[in-house]
Amino acid sequence: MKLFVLFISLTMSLFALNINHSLLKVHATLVPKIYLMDYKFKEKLKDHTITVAIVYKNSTYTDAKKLKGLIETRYKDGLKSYTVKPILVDSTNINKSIANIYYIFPTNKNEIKTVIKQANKNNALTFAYNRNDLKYGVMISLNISKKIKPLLNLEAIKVNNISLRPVLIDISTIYLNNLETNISNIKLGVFHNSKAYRV
Amino acid sequence: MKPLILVTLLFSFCVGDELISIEDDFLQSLDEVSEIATKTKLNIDDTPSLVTVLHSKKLQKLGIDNVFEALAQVPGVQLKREATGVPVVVFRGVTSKGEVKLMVDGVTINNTYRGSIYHYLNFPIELIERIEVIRGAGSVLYGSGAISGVVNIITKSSNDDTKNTLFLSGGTYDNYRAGAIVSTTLKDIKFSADAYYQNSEKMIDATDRHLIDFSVGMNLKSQHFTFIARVKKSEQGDAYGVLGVPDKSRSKYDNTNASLNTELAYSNSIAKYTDITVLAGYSQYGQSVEAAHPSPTIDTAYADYKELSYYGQIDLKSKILENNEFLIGSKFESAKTLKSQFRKDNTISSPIVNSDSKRDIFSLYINDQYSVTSDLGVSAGLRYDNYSDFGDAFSPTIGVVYKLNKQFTFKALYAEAFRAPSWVELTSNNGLEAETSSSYEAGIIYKKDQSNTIRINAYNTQLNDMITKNTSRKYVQTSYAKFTGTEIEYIFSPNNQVDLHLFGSYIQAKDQDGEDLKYIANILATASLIYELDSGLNLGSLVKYKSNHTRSRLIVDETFSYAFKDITASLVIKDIFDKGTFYQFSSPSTYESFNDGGRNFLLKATWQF
Repeated sequence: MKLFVLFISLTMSLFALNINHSLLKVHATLVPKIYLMDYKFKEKLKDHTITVAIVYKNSTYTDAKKLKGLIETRYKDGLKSYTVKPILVDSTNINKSIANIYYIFPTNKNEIKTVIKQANKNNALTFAYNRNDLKYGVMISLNISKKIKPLLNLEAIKVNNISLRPVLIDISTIYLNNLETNISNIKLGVFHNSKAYRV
Repeated sequence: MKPLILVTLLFSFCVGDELISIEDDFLQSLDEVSEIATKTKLNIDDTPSLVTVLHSKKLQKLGIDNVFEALAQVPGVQLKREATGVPVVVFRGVTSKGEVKLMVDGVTINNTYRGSIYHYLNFPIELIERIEVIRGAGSVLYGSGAISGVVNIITKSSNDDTKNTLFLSGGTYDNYRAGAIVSTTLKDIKFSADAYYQNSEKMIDATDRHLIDFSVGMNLKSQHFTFIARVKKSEQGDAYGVLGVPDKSRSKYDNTNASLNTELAYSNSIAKYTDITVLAGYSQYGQSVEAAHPSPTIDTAYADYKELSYYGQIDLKSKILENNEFLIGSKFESAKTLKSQFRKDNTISSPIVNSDSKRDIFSLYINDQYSVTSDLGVSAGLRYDNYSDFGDAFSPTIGVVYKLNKQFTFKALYAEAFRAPSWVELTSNNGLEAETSSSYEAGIIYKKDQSNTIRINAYNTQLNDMITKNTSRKYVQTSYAKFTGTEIEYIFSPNNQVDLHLFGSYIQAKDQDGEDLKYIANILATASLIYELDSGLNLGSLVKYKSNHTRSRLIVDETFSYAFKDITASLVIKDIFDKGTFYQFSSPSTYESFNDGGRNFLLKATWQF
């Protein structure tokens, strides 16, 4: 029992989240397509290529490679008329990266903030594996229930002057001020009542 | 001017069309990934069944080595060993053989001989992507044997990606293992193969538990066709003995199991919202047992057995009716004995199974999942099975899932299930019918927020027409047993820092006289904690507590693993305080309990490329 208490007390300075490979398959399908939901995506693309930066560290390297492989397999013939190019980016070398969308594996708060800063520089979208990371300013993640829905951090999206298509906003769960709700509740002004879900 | 307007209109039309196309495509993709989520059990809290999904990556961080150890991470599952050393997984206190259904990539492993699955429980964790476990009855979809649980092992070979893996491990008891997974894509066909070999020279209480085990599997996948095949062979010592005489010899008294399982699947869409899947399978299973004999004039008893089975199955899944997912399917299966012999030294005796045993099974099943509202779902199904050698069975089920709000989800389920008598049982008594069960269960899922999840459920199962051995060692069907229990799970993962999982169960298992089944653990509790330093060093702690009427035990395992890009190395220390793992025997024995050893070490390395 003493040992167990010791383990609990150790946890505050430690990092772990297990990557679910089934969820990676879901992300591999949606991440490039979400980029097309930005109204101005055509202006931002170079050479008709959607570049997805998969940010990894040593412990998530094999997961990052798995996601890269899944995106390559899924979009080997491109998406619409665009080429999809996933690239692996070491979290310690993020400052030199150029991409249209940054995919962030679970990591510490500082690294997430560094990725967001670089993404903002590139006018890029950010997508988190872990939906909890939206609280650090990541723009998009997924809400997994019977029907999968995008989870949008409208505050982070707005700050970066990105305009998403209304259909995406309508079908998504909205994350705002640590609460989750849908856009109709925000429009109706009932956001702060029980229909919102504290995360 | 007119041409300019025309061009503008045309341009707007084309651009507008592209926008609609992008949006439609995205919405379709959401439907597609929701299907993936359902298929891979990502949204288990939104379905009526109680499902646990064990992910290999997490299990490896906790030092878990094979399917047997992995299943202890499911609430309500107790591990045991028979006197012969073969592993047994007890779901919710139901201990007899064949009441748990085991599949590998959807292909059933349970044999007709005894319904047993133990020869696959030492399957290595390195080859596994995830293990999907239905706690409770599942006969409506899975037929015979799905009384207390259904386990589906999803291998890495069945994945869509084309990674290669090499793995090696070694440790106490001269335990070593080596294996590989390779895959490649040729045009639109993906080919994967895996293989492993493992060996252990375990001797405890001077009894032989050595293990030599290997398997080769392959998976071919094209757009509509999938072909899977696996051979597996294992040899192990008889430990405390088959006939009550311990196996003290490494070179004789062994139990050898060999199996071949193949399946060809075709799946396609035959209309909008309607898919067809056609399956054809062929399997062989064989067992050879050499057992030390209690008679002073006989040295060894030998049993040699071999069976084959084949099947065809058609499933139609349709979403043509709004808010319904309807399944109708039919299966035909045939099994027969190829060999059945029993002898004592050189004297031939009556075999354990009639050598001309044959069984044809015809099954028909329907199931519908109806979303009454976005928060209320109802699932109902019915299965009919006709067995040529004992009769038929009906298995109905109905379940409800209700999402009160984002915090609370409620589930309720009623299911009937059955287990066909095995050929060993039918040879002993050809008047046997199916064991049947009826189960009620209810559960609550509480998600305080994204970091805290609590799942609680309670169940009541009555197992009727139980097949047991009487005092003259004949199988009879005169008793029933009741299993009541509760399972609780707490998952805590605030941000990315902690992955803590606590779960426990209380089981009350009583026979028809109201007496406790004493060999069942009443209380099982497990805590696991995984944490990872930024350096890549991973620490995994596993604390397991088990208690029954006579004794309790706390075992702690610790795993240190280091991941550097493609390579992961780990040191596993099991039973770090050397408390010893003991399993109580189901029947009287000269030994107090099954001693499975104390502290042991394992070094592992995996390279993905």
